[in-house]
Amino acid sequence: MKTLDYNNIKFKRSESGMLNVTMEEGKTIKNIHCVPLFPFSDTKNFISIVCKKGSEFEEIGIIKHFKKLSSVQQNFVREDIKFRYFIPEITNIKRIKQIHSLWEWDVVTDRGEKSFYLKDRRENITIKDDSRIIIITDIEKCRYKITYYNELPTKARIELDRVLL
Amino acid sequence: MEKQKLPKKLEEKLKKDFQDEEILIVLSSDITAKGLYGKEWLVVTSKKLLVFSVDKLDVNILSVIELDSIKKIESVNLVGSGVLEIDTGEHIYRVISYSDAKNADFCQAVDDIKDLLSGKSLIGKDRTKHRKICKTCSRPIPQDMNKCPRCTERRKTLFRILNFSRPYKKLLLFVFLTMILGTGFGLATPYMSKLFIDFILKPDSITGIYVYAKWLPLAALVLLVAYAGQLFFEGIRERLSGSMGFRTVYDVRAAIYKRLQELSLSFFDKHQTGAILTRVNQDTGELQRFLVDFLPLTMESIFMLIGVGTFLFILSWQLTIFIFIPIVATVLFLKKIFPNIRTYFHRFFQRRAKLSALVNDSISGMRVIKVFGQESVEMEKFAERSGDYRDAGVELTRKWSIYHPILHFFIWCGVVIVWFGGGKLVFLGKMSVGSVVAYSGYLMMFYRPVFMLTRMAQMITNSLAAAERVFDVIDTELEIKDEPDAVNMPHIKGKIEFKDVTFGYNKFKPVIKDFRATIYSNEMIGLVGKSGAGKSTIINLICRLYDVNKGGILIDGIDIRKIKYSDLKSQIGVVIQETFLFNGTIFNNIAYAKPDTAKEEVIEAAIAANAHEFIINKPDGYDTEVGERGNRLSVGEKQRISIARAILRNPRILILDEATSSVDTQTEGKIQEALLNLTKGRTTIAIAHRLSTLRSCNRLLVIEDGKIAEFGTHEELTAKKGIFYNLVMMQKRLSKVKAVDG
Repeated sequence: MKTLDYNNIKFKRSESGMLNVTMEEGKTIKNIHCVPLFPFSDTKNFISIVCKKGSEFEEIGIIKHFKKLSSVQQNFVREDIKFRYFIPEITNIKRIKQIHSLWEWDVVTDRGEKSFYLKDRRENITIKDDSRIIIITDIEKCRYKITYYNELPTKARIELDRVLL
Repeated sequence: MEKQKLPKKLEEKLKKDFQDEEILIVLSSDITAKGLYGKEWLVVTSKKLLVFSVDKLDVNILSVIELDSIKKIESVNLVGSGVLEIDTGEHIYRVISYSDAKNADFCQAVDDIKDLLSGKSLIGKDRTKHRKICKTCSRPIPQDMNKCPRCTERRKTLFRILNFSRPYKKLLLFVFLTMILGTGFGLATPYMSKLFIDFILKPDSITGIYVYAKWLPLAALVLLVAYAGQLFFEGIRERLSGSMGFRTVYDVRAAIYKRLQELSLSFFDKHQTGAILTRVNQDTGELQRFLVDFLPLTMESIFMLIGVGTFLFILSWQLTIFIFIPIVATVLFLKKIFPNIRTYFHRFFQRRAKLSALVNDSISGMRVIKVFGQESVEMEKFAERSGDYRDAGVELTRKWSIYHPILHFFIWCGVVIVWFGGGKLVFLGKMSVGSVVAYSGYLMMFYRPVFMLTRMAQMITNSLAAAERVFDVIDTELEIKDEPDAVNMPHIKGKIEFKDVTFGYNKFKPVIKDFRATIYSNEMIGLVGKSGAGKSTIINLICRLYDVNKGGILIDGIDIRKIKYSDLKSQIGVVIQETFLFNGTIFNNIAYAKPDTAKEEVIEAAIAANAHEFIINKPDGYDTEVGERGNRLSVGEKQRISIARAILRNPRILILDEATSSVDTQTEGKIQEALLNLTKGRTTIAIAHRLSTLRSCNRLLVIEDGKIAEFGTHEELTAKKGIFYNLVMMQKRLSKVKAVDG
């Protein structure tokens, strides 16, 4: 595993907004991406820095512990991960209602308010065994997550319990 | 091209600032540049690519890029979203983001922009609406359905189900008749109790004589006939409605299965196997319950409700008004508790299924558990799931133990009202004792249809939803079908030409790009390349499991889409990598290639495939059961059965997707010999892994990233020292390592 030295790598945005990284040997690699290796169970550690080669990613190295980067560098990585991973975190559930054979969810997420539909009450809701994160996939294959069930408002938990089985 | 309706402010802005440019593409995204839900607008004019955001105050231009400056444009897939990237040569810009829901729309837009940049016109360009939105309610339609489940007219679906019952019109008529007669007999029985009490068993108030005593035997007989009649017609009704229901569902099941056989492979790519199985088994089962149980019971309940209601009114309209109070309360209570109870039932069954899945996994993977010493971990997992199941059962029982008595309390309230109110009316001389008893009997009969009809709405919804899913499959248009001018081609010579073929399972992500090659009759071509290069895709296209997106494949000079599909299928044989054998005998599996074939032909094919020698050593010979997926045979045996099947088919074009799984050297030799027999005298396209197979090919086609990298004989490509040479060297090194380890 090639780990990157926190002190000797520098992220920077190009004029057009793409993320570049300068390595310890002074070489700059353009248009890199930050890929968390455990996007659900451990978002703060083991972040792979990759660049695109053809249609595949080629790894440059791994940041083992995100917090060891400086706060400015952390922001770059955090922004890129937020940009790359669009799986909104549900912070409140206003209503879950069955309309004919579809289930309509009205929720508030960290990306804004959203209404989406599930084909079944329970079919596209999975709970990750280790982290207990709830992942919901709607009929348009968009995913949403609930990381901290206990932090949802009470009414939201009641709504969720009705379908969570 | 995509031209969504613009917001007014944006439309005005474009008219004002870009008036001399033609608006060609207008598309909105659902994510803003900051990664929040919101709309941004992509507008492509004849000169520029623009991105706008529109808020309450103003229209903001976020990006302006001259079309001339665009060197490359791409829709990049992220996780849960995508972004449009433009490379001007100097910089790469990410101009607009969108969620997965809009992915297909933006991929289409990129395709259109590429056409614009290369000078092609977008007018008349074939458009396929990828994101399905219902025109009525504007909600998204599930990807694996063709119609909006919310707006599909329920009545039409109901009529369609009933249409399947049309061949059984006479049966249906008899069912109705028996229902009416059965209900009629049933309504007579409580009335008989009134006659008994008010007349036959009532002495004269003055003389004390039982005036109507002589009617007792007849009355008893009538009562017996009424009960017997009710039971008789109920039985007949059950028999007839069951017969009709099962026959109707048989027709539906046959229709869906037939359609599945006709549908192309892309349908099976888009739908999970589990979901398809659910439609064939569970959804048709739901329809069966609807037609056999629910619909007749509902009809009977309606008759009963009308009949009993009428008698209640005739006996005492005053009492009936009061009775509606507990009845309405019962209905409201049922409407409230049914959804709750259903949740608890669902939870109970769901947890049972999860426990069952865990146990299944553990037993199947016991070897792994023991090797890694994870017994205690498994026991913990089991304890957790079993505990969840237990808790769900306890909760269900608790809820039911509360609801059940409350429900019965409402019912008995009704009975109390009858005796109290009825008693008062008896004292006032407005009602007889017999009438009160009969009334009580009718009331108990009234509750059964009330319960039934309260559940009706939900039952109908479930059944219609199941029916819609079934009809969705039956209504799916065939993608691969014979064109009207398709020609017969009973004797294919075997020349195959690829003319600028482009194809992707997702139309906007081609796997094969501008593929051009000619394969001559009886030639053996080896397809070589690393995993994901496009080899399997090429053979899927030759078999016409999918149609190309661009270009064409010709067989003997005729486009494959113009050849009758049945002729094509009958002359192409396939030996696939993962040998699939059906649960049956060895003979059945070989003979599957050519139904009704003579036993001699099967044996000849088995001999040529070097399968005969192991078959004769099986106690049951050719009648040996292979087990599910052939699990009773070894890998080498399965491969040779598969080869025998292909030999029996005697195809003009053979597709060979060589198995990678290794067998012992002796078996390997036998398989190689069998393959040589198989490939003689036919056009063969082989995805080859073994060096020996590659050497027997006339020419080799090396594929990289969906394009031809090298094409030539073994000697030519080895001399080139290119991709093929490197692959061969790597394989030789691996073989040496295996030999050392082995």
